[in-house]
Amino acid sequence: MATVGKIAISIFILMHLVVWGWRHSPAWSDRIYWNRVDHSLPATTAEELKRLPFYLNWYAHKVGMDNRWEMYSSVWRSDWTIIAIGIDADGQRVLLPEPLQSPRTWFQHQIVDFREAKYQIHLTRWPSEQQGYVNYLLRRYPSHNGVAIKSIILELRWRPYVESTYEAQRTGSHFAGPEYTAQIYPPPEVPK
Amino acid sequence: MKKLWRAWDSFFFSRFDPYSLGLLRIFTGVLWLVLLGFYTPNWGRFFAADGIAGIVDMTRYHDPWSLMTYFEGTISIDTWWWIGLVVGLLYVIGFCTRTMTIGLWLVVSSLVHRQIILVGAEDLVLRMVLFWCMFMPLGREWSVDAWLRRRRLKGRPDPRPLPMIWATRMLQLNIACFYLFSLPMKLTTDPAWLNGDAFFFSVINDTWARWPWPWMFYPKWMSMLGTYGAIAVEASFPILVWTRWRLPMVIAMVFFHVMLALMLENVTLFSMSMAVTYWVFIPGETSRAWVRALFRVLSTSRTSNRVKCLPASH
Repeated sequence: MATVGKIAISIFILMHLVVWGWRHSPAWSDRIYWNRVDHSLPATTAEELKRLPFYLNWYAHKVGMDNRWEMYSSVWRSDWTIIAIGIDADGQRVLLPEPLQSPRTWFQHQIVDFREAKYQIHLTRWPSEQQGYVNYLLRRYPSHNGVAIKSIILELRWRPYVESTYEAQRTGSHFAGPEYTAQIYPPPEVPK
Repeated sequence: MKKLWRAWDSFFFSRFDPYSLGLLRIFTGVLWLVLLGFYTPNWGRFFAADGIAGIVDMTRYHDPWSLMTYFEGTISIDTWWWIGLVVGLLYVIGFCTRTMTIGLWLVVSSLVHRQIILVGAEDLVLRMVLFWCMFMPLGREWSVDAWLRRRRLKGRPDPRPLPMIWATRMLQLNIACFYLFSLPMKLTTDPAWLNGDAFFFSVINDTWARWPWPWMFYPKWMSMLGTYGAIAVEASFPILVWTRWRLPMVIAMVFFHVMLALMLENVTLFSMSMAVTYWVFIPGETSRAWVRALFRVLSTSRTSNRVKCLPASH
């Protein structure tokens, strides 16, 4: 291959190495970058360099190089799940037959529900998404068991673990206490 | 400077035997078909406009960088399933391989951008692998394309030079970077990785673990074994995979991910996608030797079976 072709591919390679590094850079290195750009460089150069992260993120997003690989970087300290509950005209609560809150066969649990846990994680990470989920549930279950559903609430149920393996061995259980419940949608009003 | 360029040139622009890439194509294609199978019962629920996080709600920013969203109302969501199936099958058999690789990358990217809230790590791994695959000669071996080309050549040797390795190297680097980036994240984010309790917390979790006896990991040493074992494998892989320890490291990582797939649910497909992707580290001549050995074993067992089945008069 001609040297020009190799140089073009090399630039492409280098660009990706920069994108990977940028996407995984820790917060403190970002701060150093912005500090340098703001305080140590001439204004025109700083303007150009301020746009660089935008272009990098734009490109990374389009081609799918925008992931941060954080597999199990922090492990859970409780068993938790989100429960969707329908409310009828009389204010009675109805448990909706959603995958993680109704009886499932082995096939359903292993295959059909393979993405439900991830969806629930994202619902807690981006609370604004909970509105879309509730809208979907209202479309999906206008009524359940002959009862018209008027509104939906989402509850978070969690049961904390013990603090360490020592505690688990001492108590003979990995749970530290009972299960707790808190409403997450609609978000409870904060008293003024 | 010249020395540096020479090292760069030999690392990224040397020629190599693309035999393993044919197998990588088949494995990733089958992985996509399995993933599509898993998606099937929920296809409409996940991706339709009025689905679980549907675009009719407009409660969030909807990423237009998806063919599904771009052609909303023109191509139905069920048609996209069929497109995914057909493109996936053609990719597996290696027919119009380059076009099918681009097509499959577009389909997987479209899924990811359609519903970012439903995305799993296996989608992201597959999308990343397919991105680099678009630049690789995936159809040179184990493909309909290769078979048609051999027919056209009528026994004459293929005049094309061996391909350059740069795209394969980028995929290898990308995989090595998973661990290079994720391990420091683990060690700095959660003290359980340092004190050895991380494995315990992973195995007792009702959502992620399928291990039926969590009490086995109550003794500290059991959890430390799993935690520090994972750290050791993840720390050594990105370094040792470039040395003569490449094959043992790849085997160790495949074993590691198969064990994760067995012990943890909801990450089974992710673990499988990682295990499949390691094929890109196997040199062509090693793959060739393994496949030959496999065929030899199969033909030997078939011959011995035939001999056993012969009537006594023979």
